[in-house]
Amino acid sequence: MTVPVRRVVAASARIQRPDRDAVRLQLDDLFKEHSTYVARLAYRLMGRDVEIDDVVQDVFVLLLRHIDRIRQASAVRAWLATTTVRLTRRRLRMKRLRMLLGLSDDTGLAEARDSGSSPEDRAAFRAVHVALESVGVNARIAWTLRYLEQERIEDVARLCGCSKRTAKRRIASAQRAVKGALGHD
Amino acid sequence: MTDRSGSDGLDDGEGGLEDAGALGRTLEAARRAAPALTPGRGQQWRWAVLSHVDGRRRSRRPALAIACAAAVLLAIVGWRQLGPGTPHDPIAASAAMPQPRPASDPGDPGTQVLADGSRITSDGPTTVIEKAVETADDVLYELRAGGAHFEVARRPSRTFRVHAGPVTVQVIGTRFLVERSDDRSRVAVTQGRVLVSWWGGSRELGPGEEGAFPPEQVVAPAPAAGSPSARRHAPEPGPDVLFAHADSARKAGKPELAIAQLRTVIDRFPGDPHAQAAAFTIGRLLLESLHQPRQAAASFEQARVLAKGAPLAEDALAREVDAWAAAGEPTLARRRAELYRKQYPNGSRLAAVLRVGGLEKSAP
Repeated sequence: MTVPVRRVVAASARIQRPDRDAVRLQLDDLFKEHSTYVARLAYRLMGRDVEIDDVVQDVFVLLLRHIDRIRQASAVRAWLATTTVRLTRRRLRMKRLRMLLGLSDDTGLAEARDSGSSPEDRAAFRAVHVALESVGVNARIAWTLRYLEQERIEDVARLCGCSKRTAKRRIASAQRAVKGALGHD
Repeated sequence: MTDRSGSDGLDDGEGGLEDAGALGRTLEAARRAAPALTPGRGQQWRWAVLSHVDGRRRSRRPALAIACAAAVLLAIVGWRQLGPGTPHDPIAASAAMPQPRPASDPGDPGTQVLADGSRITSDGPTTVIEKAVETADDVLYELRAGGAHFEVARRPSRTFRVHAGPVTVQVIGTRFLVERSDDRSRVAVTQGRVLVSWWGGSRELGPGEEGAFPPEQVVAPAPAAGSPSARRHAPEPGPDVLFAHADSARKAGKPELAIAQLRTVIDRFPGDPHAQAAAFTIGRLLLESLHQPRQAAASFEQARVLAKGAPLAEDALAREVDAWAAAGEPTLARRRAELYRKQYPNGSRLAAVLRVGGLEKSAP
């Protein structure tokens, strides 16, 4: 949370004017500060690299559109996290629907583009996400936030828009699936 | 969110994973996995977001103009229903316009025959048409004045386009006529299907269909009497607007339309930063959505050339390796991988590029 309040407020004021340069400046600041975080979160939630471009772009388009509603600089990252979770949830549901309808889903390309880490780490990441395929989207997201993002239960509940109790139930359900699939019952 | 482990640790009372030995190690490794984040990719995101924002802002005024023009048009159509008039639907069998020729005469000096058998026949002495691009996977004609008949040999792997003022006609294999007027172009199809796109929209035409594009509503209404021009020209879309439209088409699941718009960006604004991003995006669409890895490799190469050493060039070269590998061309993939290793010895994608290019074992 290193974005100074004044800077965000000033940037927010700039965005309301039809000034292309101001938008560029503001976007540069926001991208520098938050794009890696959003991309990483989207990657962990989606489980593949190929779709994070669309998520990141959509999140920042929405941020530019709604930034005047964010009153505190410290709230920017939380807003981004919530929006990323929401957009990712929609995409995961669409992906499920496509698979249900027997439409193709390019998973092969993910392999070629996942170059940000070692093959062992990627294999572990893939194994976890294959295991999560068997649980519902909400449970999958809650578990990922909890165990890959290492968020607190309170934050998982807030990001998922549910109660702590529901968040715990979802995490537990996904956890059983992960343990079962990875052969560590 | 800052205190990630929190006071409650990671055990939720359901048998946590942290102390589960092998499972805990798998989890640790999964957390280390990260997406490929390169400066070029970040730059692409930034352009895409800016294009979207600019495109939205600019499109408000034309949207208002379209709404007003539509209202005026409705009134005119209602008026003409009372008496004889001409049809105003852009897709109409217009008797006033000349019909497309059934076939061209190859002996005609106004006929051009391409290597694949496609024929382009000028409509008359006033026709000015130039071939801008002719490669194995892309043919582009610029129709500057007059009209021309096109008989395009069916080759799904090749894109055939005609720029006619504000309109781009994209075909796979068909026979059609394109005729330029002041600020619109008429397209008439005899066989097959074409995709006509312009700033703010697109339309598919099938056999026997024809129309004048952009549709009447897009062009501003005629000025008052005494004005020097009979009709105001539609504003020329900038690269950011075209890019935004392409992005919308891509998201709407219309990769062919997106590619047509992006190619227009490259053709009309080759020096603009959007051109390199457009070439890169075409490569991605061809590779990931249309499964045409050879054409994708060519687009990534074009992106690399246009980027001229900018961060996107590294990404484009890495994706070129992916594309050649996907096309079943290990030698070309290997050569590009060697080039990547030479140009970016510390590149963020080096490991993956060497793996895909088959150089992993010989990597230093």
